[in-house]
Amino acid sequence: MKKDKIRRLAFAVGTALLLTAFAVLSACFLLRHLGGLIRLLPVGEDAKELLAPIFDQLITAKIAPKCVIPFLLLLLPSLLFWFCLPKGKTRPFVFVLYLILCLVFLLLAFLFTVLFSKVNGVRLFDVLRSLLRLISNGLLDRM
Amino acid sequence: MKRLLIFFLLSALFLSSCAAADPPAKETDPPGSDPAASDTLPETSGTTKDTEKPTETDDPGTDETAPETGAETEPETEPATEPVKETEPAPETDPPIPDDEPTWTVGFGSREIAIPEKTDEPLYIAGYHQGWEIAGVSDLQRANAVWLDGGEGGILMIGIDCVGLSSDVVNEIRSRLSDLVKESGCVSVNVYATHTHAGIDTLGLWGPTGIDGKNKDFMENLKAAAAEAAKEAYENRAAGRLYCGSVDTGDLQKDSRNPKCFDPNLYQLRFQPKEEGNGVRLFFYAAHAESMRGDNKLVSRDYPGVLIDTVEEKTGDKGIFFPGAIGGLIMTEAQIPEPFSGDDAVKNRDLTGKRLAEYALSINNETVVAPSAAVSTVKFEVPLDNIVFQYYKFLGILGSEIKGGDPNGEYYMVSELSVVKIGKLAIGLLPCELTPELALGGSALKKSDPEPLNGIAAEAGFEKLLLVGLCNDEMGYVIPPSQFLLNPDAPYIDRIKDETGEDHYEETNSVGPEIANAIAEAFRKAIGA
Repeated sequence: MKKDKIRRLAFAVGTALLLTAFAVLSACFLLRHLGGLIRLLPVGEDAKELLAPIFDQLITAKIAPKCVIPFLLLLLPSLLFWFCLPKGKTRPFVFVLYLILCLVFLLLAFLFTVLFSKVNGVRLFDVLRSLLRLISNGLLDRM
Repeated sequence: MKRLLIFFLLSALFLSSCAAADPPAKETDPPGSDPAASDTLPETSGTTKDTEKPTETDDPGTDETAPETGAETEPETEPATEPVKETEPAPETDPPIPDDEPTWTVGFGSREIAIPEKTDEPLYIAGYHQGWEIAGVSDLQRANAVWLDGGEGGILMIGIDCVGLSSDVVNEIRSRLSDLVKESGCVSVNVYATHTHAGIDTLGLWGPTGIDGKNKDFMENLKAAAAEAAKEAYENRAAGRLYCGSVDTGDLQKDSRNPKCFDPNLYQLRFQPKEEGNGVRLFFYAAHAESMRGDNKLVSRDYPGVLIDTVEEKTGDKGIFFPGAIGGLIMTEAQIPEPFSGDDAVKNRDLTGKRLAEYALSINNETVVAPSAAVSTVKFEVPLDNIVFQYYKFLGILGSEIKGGDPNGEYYMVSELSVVKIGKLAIGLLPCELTPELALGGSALKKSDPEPLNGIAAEAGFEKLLLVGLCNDEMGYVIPPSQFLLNPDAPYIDRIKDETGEDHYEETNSVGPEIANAIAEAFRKAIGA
């Protein structure tokens, strides 16, 4: 019984560390290529020119590692849940569900961090809110 | 008989020509060196005031203000000298300084700002168009510094020939001078821009959209030149006398936006060293340094450089230029027809600078300024309404200090304002381009506008206020709240014309509508009103 608990704990911690590493690498990948993905958006060239440097700045500001903190906070309750789960046939099914939840948490943590972390004292959320209002009005010919 | 008649005729002719000749010149007071004139400077509201004849006393150094100069009318007094012509050297007419007279300690330093020969980043020209790279150099930008000490500790004023400097660059220059400050007892280090629109981008706003237009190598050269110029100014300091004078520059300026309101005077603080040596002249003038206009791609100091060089050539005095209240938008009139082509930009710059130099050399109403200089500095914050400034700050291009961004989303730009107090003369060091009516007052201001700075200075007991814009930061234009108008669809991006057809361009380069009140409030605290 005790060995089983230790094994499950080790498995949970190992999974958490792997998922954390995955989170950081995914965030870096997304940020690095989001600037390129911006170019595929159905907005004018001027709008794309304005948005692309924003994501370059997020990479420069090393936002990606900051995604780890909210991710870990979301992860802890699920770790406890996994750790307390008794033996049974449902465990593999629950593990898959757990991975899916982790990926959702990862995405939410990434979005939360990117939008609300301050870069040079200003939040991306505030900059995007202003720019997107102008983009939707089609009013970004010059800036 | 005939010979006798001819003799008398010739003698008569000779004698009559002698009688018609000018009488020998009277000994007059040397121009520009009238000690202890008791008249005070006028309120510079743009209204006309008569010029009063300076009075003579035997006591030098008791009065710190210059006599009145009319803004638009001819002075009633007879000018002491005619404007200096190009072929005439300036007369050396300063009276010697007695040993028992209290003296100023003033020093001057200057360095060219080198353009990096090998650099990875482009060099953009600042002021008009984004993404325009420089095409050559007419004259190199410089860092000029003056050390002013009236006995309460030295004040460093470092003027950079550039479009503007954010507070982060100013603070870096200050940190490079920290050893000098400790060693010298310097009480204040101030760094300002002459606002030349022919300099390399130092704010970062003239690169392609969203790309920092600053060149790292050039900025490093700028900071190094500023620090070296400051050190040289300290090392070169000498004891002497300081004079204050002014002259109306007539139709040299224009105001491109209604209401037409500006200070037409060129002010000069002139230092006469006690021992032999070159003097130093501080020029204060309210006009954008953009005489080369918008199509120019040559690096230049613009007209301030020509002013300084011309005065130095004529007198040997070193010069430093301070931009005044130039918002709204005060610039120099073109001296040749526009639009420019070929080398017209350089010609216009030279004509403008030389004309201003003539005015400077014609100043004939100087009074002695008693040695005394203290500085008060106030930090203040302004709501940052300008979304373009927010964007450039996010990208790390705009270097000014910002705080806030709490759940309500309000950001504030944090800056500083100082006042140098020299007897009854105050010099306001403003981190912005102030619309002149906010200093001069008058009918242009409404109830919603703050009290003009001249009025606040008068409340605090000062008889004259000089202003230095773009000092220790660059917050953009400061427009009276009653005139502030934004395009409702694209605020701070697209400009708008009001019902009278007036173009509200300046608002797009402003922190927001509340900056005028913030500046007035900070100024009131700093000056002690």
